[in-house]
Amino acid sequence: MAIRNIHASKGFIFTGLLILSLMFQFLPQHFTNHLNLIFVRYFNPFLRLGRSASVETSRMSETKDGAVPKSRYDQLWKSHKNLLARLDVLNKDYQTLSKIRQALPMPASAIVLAKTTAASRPARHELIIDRGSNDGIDKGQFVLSPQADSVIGSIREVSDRMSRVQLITDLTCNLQVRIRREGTRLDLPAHLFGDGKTGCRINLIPRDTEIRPGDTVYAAAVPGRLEIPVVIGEVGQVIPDLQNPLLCQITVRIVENLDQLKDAAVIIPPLPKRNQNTEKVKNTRTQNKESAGKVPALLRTQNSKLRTSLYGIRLCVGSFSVCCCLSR
Amino acid sequence: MRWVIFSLLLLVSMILDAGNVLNVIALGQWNIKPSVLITVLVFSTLNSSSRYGIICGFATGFAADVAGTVMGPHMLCFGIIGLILTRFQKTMTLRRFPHQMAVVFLTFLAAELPAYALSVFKTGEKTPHILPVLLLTGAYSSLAAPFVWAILRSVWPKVQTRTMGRTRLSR
Repeated sequence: MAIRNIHASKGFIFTGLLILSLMFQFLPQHFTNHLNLIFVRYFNPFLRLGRSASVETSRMSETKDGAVPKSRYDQLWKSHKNLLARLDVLNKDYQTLSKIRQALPMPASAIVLAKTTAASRPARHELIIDRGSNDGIDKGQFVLSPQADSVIGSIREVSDRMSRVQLITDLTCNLQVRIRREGTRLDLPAHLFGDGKTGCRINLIPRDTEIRPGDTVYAAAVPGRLEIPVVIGEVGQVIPDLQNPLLCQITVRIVENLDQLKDAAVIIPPLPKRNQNTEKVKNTRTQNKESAGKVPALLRTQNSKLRTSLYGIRLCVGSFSVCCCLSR
Repeated sequence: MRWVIFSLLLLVSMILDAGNVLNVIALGQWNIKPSVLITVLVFSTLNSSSRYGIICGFATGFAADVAGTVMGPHMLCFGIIGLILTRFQKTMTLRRFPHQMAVVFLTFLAAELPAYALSVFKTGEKTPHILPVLLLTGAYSSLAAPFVWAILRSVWPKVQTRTMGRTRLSR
């Protein structure tokens, strides 16, 4: 199986491989990332060997009296906070319902459970899960803890069977959140960023805002992706911003232990329910109009694809002719 | 050169770089762990004939890309660095540990900084604190280099064929 002699010149080999690497460089990311995900899919058992994950988060403090175990306390705390958030949503719904006396559809998002593979690199806090677009997963969807009671990240890249999850501790993570305090009307919108180490931070908050350590941080509801706010953690520290004295910096303690994640739950938004009969009527009416419009659009896309492939072929032919000239 | 054995060597290095095994020795909050592929790049390019060294450089870069997140940047940078290293085959004798560590550290920085720039060019995703992370990873890789180097030195005769001519290990 040994290739004993390669007769091509060094210049030819180098130029050929350089062109190949340039092709990889300039091919779109959504096309080339399949190679990364295929590698993870086939070597998943070997990649999972060793310590399960490398992201150690700054957790919330232990209970003072020690009456309840920490894990049970966390679980109860999350359930309590989520119930409060849900109660708030239900209260608003009830007020609306009592006015218009009409039933509203309840959120019915599907949840897909997935196994995780820790592929965290030093600069990135990411996980790879064994579910992809075949399971209805799409970019930007929220990823929850295995019990589906706290947000741990969002989908960054998707292939057919695998997806890459950006954790909330990742430096490039930017999530809309709401800061609330139980028993008060405090409900402050903010942006949460990962600190790349152990937790998260919230910037650009005016210093005179009444935020205290212990306030709850929720992932803000996003229509079509997250129907109700889901808890992330609590405010850890509120310190003045050294660069801008009018602002303060908030550190967030995450409730979920990202160090021991073996499963994750992805929220799949429900498909919009439509009346099938009206759909059929609309389809028959618009079919003729659309078909007339589709043909030129189809031709246009085919033309652009052909143009791109021709451009690629010309590039390859040109580069290989240069290689041949160099090798002579 | 026995490319099948070399590919297996690359595969093991990829699994070590991308997997969880090296998390056991990862340091700090940034999860700094040594890069095995960079030592494979330096060793393979310095201990192969110049023609095979070029291929080894690009192959190692391809492996680094597949084990990473973006295709292309490492293949380009490792290929070019591999070509430069093959030019120094006759002048560099990396028998002492400090020399190995220094070359691995410099090669890591020379390859990873442009690779990061190329990955930002491709994806548009910037990573804050990348410079300290790369510096620390380079330093850790250079510390681990003598161990990886010793393993590669013992395995390398099985990768080479007798018809390859004089290389550094056969001298």
